[in-house]
Amino acid sequence: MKDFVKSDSGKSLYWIIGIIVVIIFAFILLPPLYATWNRIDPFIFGFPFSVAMSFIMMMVLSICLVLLYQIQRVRGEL
Amino acid sequence: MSPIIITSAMLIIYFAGLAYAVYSNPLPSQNFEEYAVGGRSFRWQFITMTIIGTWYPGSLLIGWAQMGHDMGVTALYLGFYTLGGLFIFLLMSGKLWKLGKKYNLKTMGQFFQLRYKNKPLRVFTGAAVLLIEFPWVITELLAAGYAIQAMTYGKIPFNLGMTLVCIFFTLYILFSGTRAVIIADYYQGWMFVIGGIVLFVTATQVLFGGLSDMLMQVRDLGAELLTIPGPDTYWGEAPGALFWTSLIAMGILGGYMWPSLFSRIFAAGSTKELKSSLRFTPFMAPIFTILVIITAVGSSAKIEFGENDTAQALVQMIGSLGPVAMGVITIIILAGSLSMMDSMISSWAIVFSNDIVTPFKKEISPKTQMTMARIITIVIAVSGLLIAMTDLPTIVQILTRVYQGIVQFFPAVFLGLYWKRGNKVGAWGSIAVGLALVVYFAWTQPDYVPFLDGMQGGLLAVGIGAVIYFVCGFIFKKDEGVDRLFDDMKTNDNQIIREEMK
Repeated sequence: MKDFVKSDSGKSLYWIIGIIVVIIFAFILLPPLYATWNRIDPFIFGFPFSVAMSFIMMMVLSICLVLLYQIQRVRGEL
Repeated sequence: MSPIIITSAMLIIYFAGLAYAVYSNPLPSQNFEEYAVGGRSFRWQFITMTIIGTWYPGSLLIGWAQMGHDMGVTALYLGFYTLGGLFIFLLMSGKLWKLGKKYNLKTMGQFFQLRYKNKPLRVFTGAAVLLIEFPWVITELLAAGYAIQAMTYGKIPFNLGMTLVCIFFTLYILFSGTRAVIIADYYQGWMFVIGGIVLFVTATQVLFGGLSDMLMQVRDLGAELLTIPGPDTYWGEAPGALFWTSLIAMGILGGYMWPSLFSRIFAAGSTKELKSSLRFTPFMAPIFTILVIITAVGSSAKIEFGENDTAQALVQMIGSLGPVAMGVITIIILAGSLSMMDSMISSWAIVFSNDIVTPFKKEISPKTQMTMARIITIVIAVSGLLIAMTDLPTIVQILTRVYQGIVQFFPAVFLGLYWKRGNKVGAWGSIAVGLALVVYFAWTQPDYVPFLDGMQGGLLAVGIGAVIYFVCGFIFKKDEGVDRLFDDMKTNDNQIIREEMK
């Protein structure tokens, strides 16, 4: 895995993560889109849908951040 | 034992701990570099905690908790903009740190002078960012005042509590440099995170039977608290669909423009240390922010919490567990406020000295610089306290308004790091026009603009500023020496260290 990240093809990981981040932020920021997750039912693990979705989206963004840092570290781009 | 004795004893232990931190890390009297950026020697654990300490102030548990209580999950915008801000941090911090190391930068104004070769821009930026960040002091004093009032069960009135805290904070900041501040922030950050999580989980479990049951009760009382934009949206008004978008966008773009965070970028030992804070910081948003805001939303399910003032709802809820819980939540708020205030005031002293005085008076001794820093600290503390005693909007309203100002520096900073053609005309144009528009909106529609469907005026202004920056980039020639700076930003830490050793 490290070899792939270090290789030229490893740069594609930036694009993949970037696209995920842009999609999530579009979902959060644009009102017609946020309306789709902005509701109470169904409850997920005891949490209203809006709260559960907020948690999931924040977790994905957090993981993307950590991955970006790790990719930069492995590629020696810090 | 009387509850007030228990809470007071806890407060004294906390203050004694801070005094020890200052005593064991005395203020350097002859070295302003050491005072300003702690010798640029801090490891990632310290940088992480100082960023958390500055990002999650005491006002989180008062101001944003009030927003959660009154408006429900809309307050979760804080978590989204925290994460968006970290992406901006990841994109710009390494480049800034490398320039800072090579050219001995400490402030945004210095960066502008280096990047755009324009001294007036440095002075203007120094003065402007100080004025724009100043209201944070007021909000932190308000948070501390609420905390002391709650902790003493009303025995110490709000204004007196705020004054006492202000005196202690001022003394602490006067006798500590950045090193003591960062070390104290490190321990306070941990206390804030661990103490906060334990308290909130315990409170929801004891008072409601768990987070899930608490949210069920909230739904039964008023389902609109669990969707955006909340029951009466922005304290009684309905701004429009773009308000939510605007709140998050402003936070993302403006978050790392604050001088208190900007100068922390230069305090790290290397870009690796700086970015290593990303191992831990991102998970604060989904875990800590959601927990705080959801608990605050839950406080609305019981009428006794925040009955007289909704700003105190969360503190009263936690305090209902007993005096020890009340003591801990108060100390957590004070720790958050102090972390924020010491970071701000020490960085303002640096900005004032570096960007406003040094450009006009080259020969200035470290001793004089530190004397100035102390005078600034006293002036800010006294003026902040006096304003905090007046009739003000809510904490979140104050902060969303000042965000509209600081965000105007984003195009000149961020685009200046990535686009060689960006030049001083564009930088001046984007900042001046952006701030002029913000001043106009501050007088007319400070919270949002109805005909823009609730968008804040500051977001419109920064958009116009960015367009001006680009247009000027194509019309006017690029600044002298910009190619060399871009080469400097491409070097890695090892090259910088090797050059330094030569």
